[in-house]
Amino acid sequence: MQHSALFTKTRATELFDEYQSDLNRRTDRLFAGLLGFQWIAGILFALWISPLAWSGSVSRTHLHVWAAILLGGVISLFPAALGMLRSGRLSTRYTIAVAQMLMGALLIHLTGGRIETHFHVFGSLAFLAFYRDWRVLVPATIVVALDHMLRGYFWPQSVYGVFVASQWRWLEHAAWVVFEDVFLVMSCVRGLAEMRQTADRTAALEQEVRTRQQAENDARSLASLTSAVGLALTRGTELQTMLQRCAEAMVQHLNGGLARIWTLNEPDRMLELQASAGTHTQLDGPQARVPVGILEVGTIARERVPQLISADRVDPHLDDANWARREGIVAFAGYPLLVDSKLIGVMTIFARREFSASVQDAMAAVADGVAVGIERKRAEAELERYTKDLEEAHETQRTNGLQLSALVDQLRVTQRQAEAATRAKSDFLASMSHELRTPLNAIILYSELLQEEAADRGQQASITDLQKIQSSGKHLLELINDILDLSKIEAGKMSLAVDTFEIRMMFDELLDTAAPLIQKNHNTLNVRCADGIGAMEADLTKTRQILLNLLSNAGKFTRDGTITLEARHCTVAGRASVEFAVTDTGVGMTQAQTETIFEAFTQADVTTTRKYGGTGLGLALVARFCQLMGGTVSVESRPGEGARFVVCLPLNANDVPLESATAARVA
Amino acid sequence: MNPTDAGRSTTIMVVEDNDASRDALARRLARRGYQIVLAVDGHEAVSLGRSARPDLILMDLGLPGIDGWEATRQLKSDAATSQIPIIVLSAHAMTNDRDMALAAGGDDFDTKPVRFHQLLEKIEALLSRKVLA
Repeated sequence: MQHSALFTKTRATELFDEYQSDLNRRTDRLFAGLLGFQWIAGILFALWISPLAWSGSVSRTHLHVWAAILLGGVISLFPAALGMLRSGRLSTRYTIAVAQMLMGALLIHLTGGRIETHFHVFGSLAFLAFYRDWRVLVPATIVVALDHMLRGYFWPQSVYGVFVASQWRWLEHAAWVVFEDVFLVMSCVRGLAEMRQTADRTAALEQEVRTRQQAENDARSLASLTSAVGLALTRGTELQTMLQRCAEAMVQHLNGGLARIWTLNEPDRMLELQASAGTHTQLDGPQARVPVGILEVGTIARERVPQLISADRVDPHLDDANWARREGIVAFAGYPLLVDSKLIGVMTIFARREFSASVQDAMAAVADGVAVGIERKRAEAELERYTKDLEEAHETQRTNGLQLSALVDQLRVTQRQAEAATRAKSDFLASMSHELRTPLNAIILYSELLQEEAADRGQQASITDLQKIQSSGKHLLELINDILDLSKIEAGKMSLAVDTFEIRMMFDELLDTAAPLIQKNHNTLNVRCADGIGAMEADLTKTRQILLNLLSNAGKFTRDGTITLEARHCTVAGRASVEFAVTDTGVGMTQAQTETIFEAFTQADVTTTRKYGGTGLGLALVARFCQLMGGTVSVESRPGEGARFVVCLPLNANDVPLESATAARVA
Repeated sequence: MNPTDAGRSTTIMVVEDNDASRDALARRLARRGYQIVLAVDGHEAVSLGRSARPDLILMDLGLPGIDGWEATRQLKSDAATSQIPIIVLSAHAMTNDRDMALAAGGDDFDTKPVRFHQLLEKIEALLSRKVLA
């Protein structure tokens, strides 16, 4: 507390000077009055003792009266005026001292050197000691000594009241005066010392009062600071707003010039300025981002130790020396913001007065609070982010749910539509098969009737023809049944009727039916059956229909050409199979057409149906039957170069894995 | 089977709206020696059933006027004709046609186009059952 001691001493000197000046002024004014009084009193005294000087009967105003008026005025008025107008000055005091002693000399002279009036001299000296300035006694003593010496020598009656006096009598008088001076000087010195003591005590008392007031103010400020910071920390505001309020509270309550709070950007090892209050409040200046370890703040962040820099250190650390001087900054404090020894940021303050121990404690507490506050805000932000994410996830889930339910609804509608379409198709097929069966019924019945009648008449040639009608009718019936089968396949209700049959015999039956279809366009049919083709185990009706459909198809699209039916053994995926091939020399197809040719209710081209006839079901049935039987069908063709359909069926239907049949159903 | 034998005194009513089918079926049955009565719709089938009293009726289902089901139901609910066996013929291949036909009172069911020999067997079976009864 060297600073405050110096201050007290200065204050004591100031007080002492004040007292002294006050005393001098008062004493000056006292002497001004005294000089005036002495002048008047001298005049009155002169008028009372000897107003008139008689020269016989003629009288005139006594010379003493004039002396009292004129000399007294000359001596008194100027110093009295000085005492009133320029009180307190050393020159005034000296002038007054000289004048007072001259007034004594005048009094002695006017009383005719009466020895009693010399007491005025001693009284005046004592009065001058009121100044407690021994220096005024010097001119006073000199005036008395000189007066006595000169008047004693030239005009002893004026000073001693005798006509003849010893040449050294003035020395005696002077000695008495000096004798008194000694005590008066001692008294002055003593008085000054006492006055100085009083000043010291008063200054010390003042200092103590000030210190106590300071402490009270500190306590109030710290209470305000704590409450302001506490309020800022607990309010539900943004992080920056919260920190800004803390910084402003520090500036306001700690007599701060500038308070700043940085937060640590952990990945970048960078301090980011979040709040700045005071005279430098920009957030985007050169110190907006400070790397850890750089500058004072960076050092505090690295060392994790509070920094206190006081006024008596030159402040190169303070970022702007001119600013610091201008703002009267005398102290700097920086605190690392730590939560569980984890660095959160740094808090700094530049203040206009030094930090007391209690202020330091308070700032440390504020730093702790701010650190926890930042951490809490971050946790809240994270929580908020999580909550938002969760809400978004919820929302997404809800939207997905809605979409899903919309999709399900749509699916239901689609399913209903599909079911309605399937029903419509089934109805169509049922009604079609009915319409077909009725004329077919007549055809078959009549062909049988005619055969019976021809047999009765022995017309054998007719019987053969009638049998072809009957056979074709029956095949047509089978076709109709197979249309129903197609719908059954699609409904997953188709089953296989597996038989063992000779392939050659199957071909013979097949060709009876197929020959008219092939020959109608003047085509030639070649049949090539591999040697030892033997029997196969399969659904005979479906196998026959597959081949009939292919032959019928070939016959439709070939004119004046050759159609070849082949059969041979082969192995597909390690399984013994029979390969049937139907090759024609007809119109052929583009690749695009071959890709859709096996789809139901399609022909290669819509114009195809008009030109070549047919229902468009034939190849679709082929594909479905092949799948159902665990086989495959494929086609190779080019426009104008005919087509080759190859069907591969298992030699033994029991080898077909169950999945194939299931797959065929699904397809 | 000998056409001049068992069917001589047996009358079969063919109920069929399609002329060709009716004619062909009737002529084939006639060749087997059956007496044939023809009806072209449901009303005629019911009235002829009552007046001609055939020994057996072949009933088509899809008929103008009242259909085969209704005609069968009416014939079977009339005491005068309820004893006459009825074979329902349908061009519908749906299984519930058979169930519906039998539910209406039909004694047997066959599909069209008829497999003639199979139909004859059903006719003979019903007629012999009637004779035994």
